[in-house]
Amino acid sequence: MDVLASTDELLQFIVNEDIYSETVIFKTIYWLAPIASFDILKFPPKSFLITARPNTASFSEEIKKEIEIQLRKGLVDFKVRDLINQETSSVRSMIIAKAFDNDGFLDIEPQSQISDPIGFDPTR
Amino acid sequence: MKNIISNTYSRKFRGISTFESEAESIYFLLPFKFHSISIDREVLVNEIGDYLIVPQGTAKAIVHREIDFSSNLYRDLVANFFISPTPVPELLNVISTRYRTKKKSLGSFTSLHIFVVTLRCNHSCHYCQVSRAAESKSEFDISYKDLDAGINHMFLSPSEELTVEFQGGEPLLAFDKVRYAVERIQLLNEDFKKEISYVICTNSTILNDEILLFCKNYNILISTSLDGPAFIHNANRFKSGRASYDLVIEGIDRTRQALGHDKVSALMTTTALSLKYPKEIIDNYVENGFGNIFLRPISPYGFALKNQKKNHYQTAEFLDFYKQGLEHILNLNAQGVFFKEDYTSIILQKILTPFTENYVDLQSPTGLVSSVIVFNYDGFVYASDESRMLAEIKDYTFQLGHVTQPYEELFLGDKAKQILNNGVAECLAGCSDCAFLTYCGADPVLHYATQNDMQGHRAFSIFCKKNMEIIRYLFEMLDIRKGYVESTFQSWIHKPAA
Repeated sequence: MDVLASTDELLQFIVNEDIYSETVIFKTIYWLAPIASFDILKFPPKSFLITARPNTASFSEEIKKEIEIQLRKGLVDFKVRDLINQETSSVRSMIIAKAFDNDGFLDIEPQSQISDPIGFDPTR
Repeated sequence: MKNIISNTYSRKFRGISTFESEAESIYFLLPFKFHSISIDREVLVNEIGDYLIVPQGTAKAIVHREIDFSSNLYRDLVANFFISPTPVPELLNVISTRYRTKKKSLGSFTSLHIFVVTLRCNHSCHYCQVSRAAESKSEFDISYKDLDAGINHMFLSPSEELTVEFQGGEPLLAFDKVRYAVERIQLLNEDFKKEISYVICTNSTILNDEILLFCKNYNILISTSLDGPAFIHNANRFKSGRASYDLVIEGIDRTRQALGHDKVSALMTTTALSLKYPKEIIDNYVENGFGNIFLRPISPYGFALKNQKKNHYQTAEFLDFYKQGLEHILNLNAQGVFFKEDYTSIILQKILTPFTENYVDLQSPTGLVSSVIVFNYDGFVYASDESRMLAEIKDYTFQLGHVTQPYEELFLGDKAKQILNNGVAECLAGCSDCAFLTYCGADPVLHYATQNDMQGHRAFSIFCKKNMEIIRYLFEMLDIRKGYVESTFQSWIHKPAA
C-alpha cells in the first residue's frame, strides 16, 4: 500500500488489486468508519484508490497516522481471513450440513483405513 | 477391523520417522478465525469454539504453510481442529456434532415465557425502561382472558422445558393473576407433562407469608433487584415511605427463611453512580449472602433514556467498572470466598466447554422469539423484554401481534421472520469474520434502538464494543495469568453459586 496524498482534509492510498481484493479492502475500512469516511475507486491499470475524508472538520496528525496503521494491519489480517475462508468454505459447509442432518443422509464412512499406531492387537 | 489390526508388525513403539512422510508435510486448513489479544499474542478460534493462544503472526504462518510438522504447535493445531492432514478431516462427524452442541438452543424453540402481569409498581426507579402505573390503577393488569391465551400459546411450544417468568411493574401487586396463572399451568400440565420452572421478578418489598407459602408449594424462585449498598440502591430505586434497601434486605431474608437460601437471586443495574463503586457493590452482595453477581449495564431503551444524567455513560466507562469488579472478585476467590460474576461465567462456559448457555443476548441466531417471548399486560406479544420497553415509547417494531392471534401468526409470522433474519451473527457484516463469533450473539433490538437498524454497524455498536473487549480481556487473563485465574474460572462454570 502506498500513500498518494496526505493533507488535513484528505488521505489517499493506492492498493495493488493483485494482492488485496475489493472484499478485503471493504472489510478493512468497515472498522474505520468511526474515524473517517471512505471512497474506493478503481485506479488503472491494476490498483484501487482509497480516499479517506475526516468525519470532523479536519484530520489531526494522530488520526492520520492511526488510519494508515490500521489500514496496513487490516489489509493483511483480512487477506489472511479471506484466504482461510476461500480454502475452508467447502469443509465449513460440510460441518454445518452434517450438524443439522437430522435424518443421517450425509453420513459417510471414514475414507482411510483404521490405523493401530502402537501395534496393539487384542487378538494375539 | 480384525484384518487391519493383524497387519501390524510388532508391539514396539516406532521412531518418529515412521510417521513422517511427504504427504504429512502438507496440511489442509479447517475453518478458523483469529484476533489480536495483546501486542504480541493472538487467539485462534475454530468453528466449534476451541481456542489456542499463540504468538502474533501464527495465523498468517499457518495459512502460508510455514508450520513445522514436527512441532508441538502442528500437533496442537491438528488435535484442536485448526488444520487437518487430510482434505476432509477424519473426525468430521465429531466436529459436526460439536457444532450442533453449540447450537443446541435451536432444537427446542421458545422456552422462556415472560408474563407482564401488571405495569403497576410501588417504586420510581430512574432507570426503569417501562412506564409504571400507580399502585391503584388495576386497568394496567393483564386480563384473565389474555393470560389464558398466553398460557395456551406457551403449551404449543415444542420445548420440553419451559420457564415462566412473572414481571411487572411489580408483579406481586397483581398476585391474584400470578396465582391464577400458576394454578392453570399446573392443571394443563397434567396432560402436557413438561418440565416447568417459575420465577417471580419482584422488588421483594411486599412479600408476605401467603405469597411465600404459595411460592414454596410450587417451587417458585424469587429474582429481586439489589443495586448494592443503601446509598446506591436507594438513589437508583426510589420508594416513597420507607427506604427500598431496608425492605429488599428484609424481603431477601424472609424469602430465604421460607423457601431456602438458594431460592432467591438478585440482579443489579449499573447506573452512572454505580460506576464509582464496583468493590462496594460486590462486597454488599457478599455481605448479603450471595455467591454471584451480574455486572449488568443499563439498557438504552424506553424511559431509561429520559434521565441521561443518571443513566448515560460510555461503554468504556462500563468496561472499566467491569474489569475493576472482576479483579476484586478474583481477589475474593483467592481469599477463599467462592463468588462469581455471571456474565463472565456465561462467556467462559462457551470458551472453556463444548457447551453453551441459553442466554438470549449471546445467541446466534438471536434468541428473540426462538428462546424468549413476552406477553404484555395489554395482551400484545413482544419478541423480548427489551422489545416491550421500546413499545413503551410508542415504537412497536418488535410487536409480534396480539395474544388472541393464532400461534403461527405470532411465532412464525413475517415479523418474527424479519427479526430472525436480522439476528444471525454468522451473516452480519463485521461478525462473520470475528474470532469471537462462537462466544457472542446478535441483538437486533439493541441495534435497532441505538442505530435504527436491526443489523447495525459493528464499528459503532456498543454491544460489539462491550463483548469484544470483555472476551479479549478474558483471553488475555487466560494467557498471562493462567494457573490460578484459569482454575478459578473453571470453578465458576462447574460449581453453582452458593
